[in-house]
Amino acid sequence: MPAAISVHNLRKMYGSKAAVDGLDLEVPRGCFFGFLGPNGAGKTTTIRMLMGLAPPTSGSIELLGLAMPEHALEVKGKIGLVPDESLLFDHLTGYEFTEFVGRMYGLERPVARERARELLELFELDSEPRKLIGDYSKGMRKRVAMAAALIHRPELFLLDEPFEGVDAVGARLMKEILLEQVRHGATMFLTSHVLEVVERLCDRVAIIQQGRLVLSGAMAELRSGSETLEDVFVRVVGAERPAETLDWL
Amino acid sequence: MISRQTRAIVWAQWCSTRNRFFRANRAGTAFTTVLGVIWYGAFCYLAVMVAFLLSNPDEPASLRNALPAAFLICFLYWQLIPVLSASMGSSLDIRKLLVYPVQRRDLFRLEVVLRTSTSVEMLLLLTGAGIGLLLNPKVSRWAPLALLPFVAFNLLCSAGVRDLLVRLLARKRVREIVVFLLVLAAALPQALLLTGGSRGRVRQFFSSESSAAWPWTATARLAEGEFSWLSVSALFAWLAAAYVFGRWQFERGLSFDLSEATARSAPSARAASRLEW
Repeated sequence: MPAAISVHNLRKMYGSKAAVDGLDLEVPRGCFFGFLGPNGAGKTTTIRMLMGLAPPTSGSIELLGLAMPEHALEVKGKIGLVPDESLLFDHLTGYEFTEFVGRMYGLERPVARERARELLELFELDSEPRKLIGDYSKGMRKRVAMAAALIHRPELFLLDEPFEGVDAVGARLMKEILLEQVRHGATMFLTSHVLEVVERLCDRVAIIQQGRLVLSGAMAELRSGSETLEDVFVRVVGAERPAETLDWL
Repeated sequence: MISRQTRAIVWAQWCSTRNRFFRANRAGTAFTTVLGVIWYGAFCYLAVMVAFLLSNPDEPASLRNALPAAFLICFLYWQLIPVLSASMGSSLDIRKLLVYPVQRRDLFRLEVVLRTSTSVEMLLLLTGAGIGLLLNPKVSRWAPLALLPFVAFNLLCSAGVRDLLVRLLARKRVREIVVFLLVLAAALPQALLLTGGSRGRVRQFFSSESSAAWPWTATARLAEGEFSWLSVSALFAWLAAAYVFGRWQFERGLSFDLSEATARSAPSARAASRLEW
């Protein structure tokens, strides 16, 4: 069975600066994959290219065995996206947005409406049904994005900082749901700055820095001895700096 | 599946508009309702007046003189509204729909359909004009059909103009230049009217004597029942050009990467990289 995500020599230039620079990545199916990197490393740009929102400058992308952008329609129907906040519709309520997403994935309206109701109950977003997404807190926006991503039962999830701003209870619920999806055969591609979460959830990890892949492998292999993922991350991205740089602090 | 998606997008647009409307408190909603009733009521009234005027068979001369100018104003209004709607975000951002399994050409159709919601005023007036012309015994029955390609021309052009402006306004330095040009453009008619030598040209531009190659003049002549292949060709050539322009700008808009635009317009040097204190 082909990999869930297969990326070869992917490059994205912004002017003269390379946001993603010759990235090669293989994400096996049924895997919970953590995609890590410091701020500005190119994680969100990579997800935007995977979704067809930003055209790559060069390189190739295959999702679920299908080449992008040639099979974009077929692929997009099988993907659940928890994007950065800019892709939500601020003037819709959580119900309306989730139902809308379901209908965009081809669900019949009654089915989309029923699933939207159930998902918003599950994510505890049903207490203020008339509240617009634009008035949601950051955590609520992430929860509604997650609810919408689940509505069509996708095979591959692209999750861009899904736990950002989500409270502990909400985050736990989201993690349980995602792990349940993986148990049912779905693949997760997760970017997160919360390394403890990545460490607990992911079985494979890749780290990029300045658009280049600097480390990739199974979680168990990457951590040697008592090293945590944070230790590995800091070592790999070369950010081991003494904290006493300002003598007055 | 496509029609299902189309219905979903139109429904989301409707919800979005309705939610914006009812977002304010009761006083705000009441104020917006009254304002809306007055605004659209005025255009309904104008549409009835236009229908009444154009149905009168005894005023062919005034009709002939007024129509091209009226259609030109209609065109300008239709193209200016996107500037406002782009800044106020009153319509769905089609680019956000790229993450869903929907064809680009279907998105373009939707974008054009959604443009109708931003110029309801002009649709009301043109409907009034169409009914008036239909009721006028001196005007051929087919003549009001000329309004249909004119509406399509305006919708396509409006979609293109909106996409173009959204992209231009996203770039820092270009944004200032565009705003400056828009201010200049707004002052242009007054400047032309104040210039004595140009007054005749301006009047001619607005009259039925202006070249039949302009879409508003061609539409006016055809709508008056004055059939000519020149007017038909001109109108459909403008329609085709508007389609090409609208589609081209739409495709560029879909491929437009805000991060890239920001990166290109940002200064390359990191001026704030040192802590001088």
